Amino acid sequence: MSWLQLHGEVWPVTNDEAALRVFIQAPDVNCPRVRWWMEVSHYIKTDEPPAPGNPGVDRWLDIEVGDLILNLRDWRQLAGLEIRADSAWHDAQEFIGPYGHCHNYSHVTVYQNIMKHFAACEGLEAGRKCWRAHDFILRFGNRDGWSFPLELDAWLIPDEEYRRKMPETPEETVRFAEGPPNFRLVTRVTFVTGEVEMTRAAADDPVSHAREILREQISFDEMRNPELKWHLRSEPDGDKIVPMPGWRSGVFFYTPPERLL
Amino acid sequence: MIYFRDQHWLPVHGYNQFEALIQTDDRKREDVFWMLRLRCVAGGAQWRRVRHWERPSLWLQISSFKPRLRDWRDLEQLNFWNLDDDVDEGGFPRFPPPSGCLEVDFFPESCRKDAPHESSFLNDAIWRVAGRDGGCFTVELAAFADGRNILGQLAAQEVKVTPDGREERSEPDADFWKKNAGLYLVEEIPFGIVTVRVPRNVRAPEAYALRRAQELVGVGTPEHINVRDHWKSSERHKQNCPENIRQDIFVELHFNGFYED
Repeated sequence: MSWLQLHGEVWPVTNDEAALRVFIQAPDVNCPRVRWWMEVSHYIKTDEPPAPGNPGVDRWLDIEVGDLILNLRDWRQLAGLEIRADSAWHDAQEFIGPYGHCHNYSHVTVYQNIMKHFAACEGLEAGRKCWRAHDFILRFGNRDGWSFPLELDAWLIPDEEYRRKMPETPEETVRFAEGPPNFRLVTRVTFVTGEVEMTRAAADDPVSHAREILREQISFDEMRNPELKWHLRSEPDGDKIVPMPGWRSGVFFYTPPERLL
Repeated sequence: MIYFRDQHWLPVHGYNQFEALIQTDDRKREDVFWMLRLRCVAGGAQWRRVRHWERPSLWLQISSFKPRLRDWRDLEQLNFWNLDDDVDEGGFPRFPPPSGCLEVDFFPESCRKDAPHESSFLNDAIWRVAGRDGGCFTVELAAFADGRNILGQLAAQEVKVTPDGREERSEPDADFWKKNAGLYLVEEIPFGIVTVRVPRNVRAPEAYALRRAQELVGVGTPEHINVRDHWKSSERHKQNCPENIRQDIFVELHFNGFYED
């Protein structure tokens, strides 16, 4: 079930649910290693059976909450977790990742997509529109297997206004969640998949080492359908770039729900 | 932690590292060219809406220091915490100074190409390695516009008498350096890249480079190897000109796991 309100408009309830993913950096990185992502797409389908060429969807929202550094030793500790993403919280989230890229502050991104046929009927503008929010409140409820009820309140800013050249003033920085949120989401989130990055030291058996890392980092024991992907590398004496066994790798996995997304 | 101009700074992981360059005619460990690179960008919640390449940025490089080492792990014994060592018996500056040549660039607006920047405002530095954890070294550095100004303040530090009657001048603490140095930092910096210059007629450049690096820097197995053959990207190569035997190949051996992707 997914319920949401965007700029005062309550959208029809759907059966969509959010997916939760984890990414664990290799042990040799000099930055926080465990990052969480949450995403849900809220699809409003056409009432009528779709005509040929019509995808059967009027409009939809893609919602992402990414790059969360939660510092949980056990993924089950998500239950009851509340994040108030104020400036102090953002300060604690900030770092530069191992490839020299700034950790893109954890924020909420909402993409609205309106199909042409629906836009024509409703007098709306077709296409894609994006908002971002760094002020948000995220609440996880009690755990039910691999899932948690989830509430998200966010104070969205249009994407075209979001990026600035100058830093915020101290007054702007300390402000948090002023007025009612212009985006609210209530849904269920399920921990479905993740990836563990492995160093060459683990190249003899990356999947077993990935299991150990998952146990150590998030107390997770039930990795399903692991898929090993060796990092790409130039062939010796050649120009071809190919997956190179024996080097760094990534182990992708699913949790027991094994929901392919 | 980096103290510079009352700004909060984020170290740029993946870029900050110790590097070594082995030229084709290097025969002894002392011949190896060493470099320490450090880059940081302005951080803090007030910058969350500014992309990291559009924030103030500080770039620092120390090159040509000569560590006496059996292998790379001995970098932990580096200690250039004495400005007096950079002048000879006659009081003239040594070149290059034993502590290496310092280059600092400050980009107050952004680090885009051609952005305005200040350089040569910090000319002297003292630095040392406080310890090593695996492949990472804790580096402490204080840099000054003119190191001679600091000598007097150091001489004014409290003198303690030891139980056996010796006089010892107290070593200033971090607060002293924060107040008196133009830049003061204590950062974890990994042993990063060894670049080996390889003659073009070598049959297996990667194996040759690894052997040279093992002999002169005592390295183990790299996380990544990058072969840079500038001839292959040159105009003359595109015009099918014969290979120039004097155009060497550069093999980069990456040890902190990160490479420019």
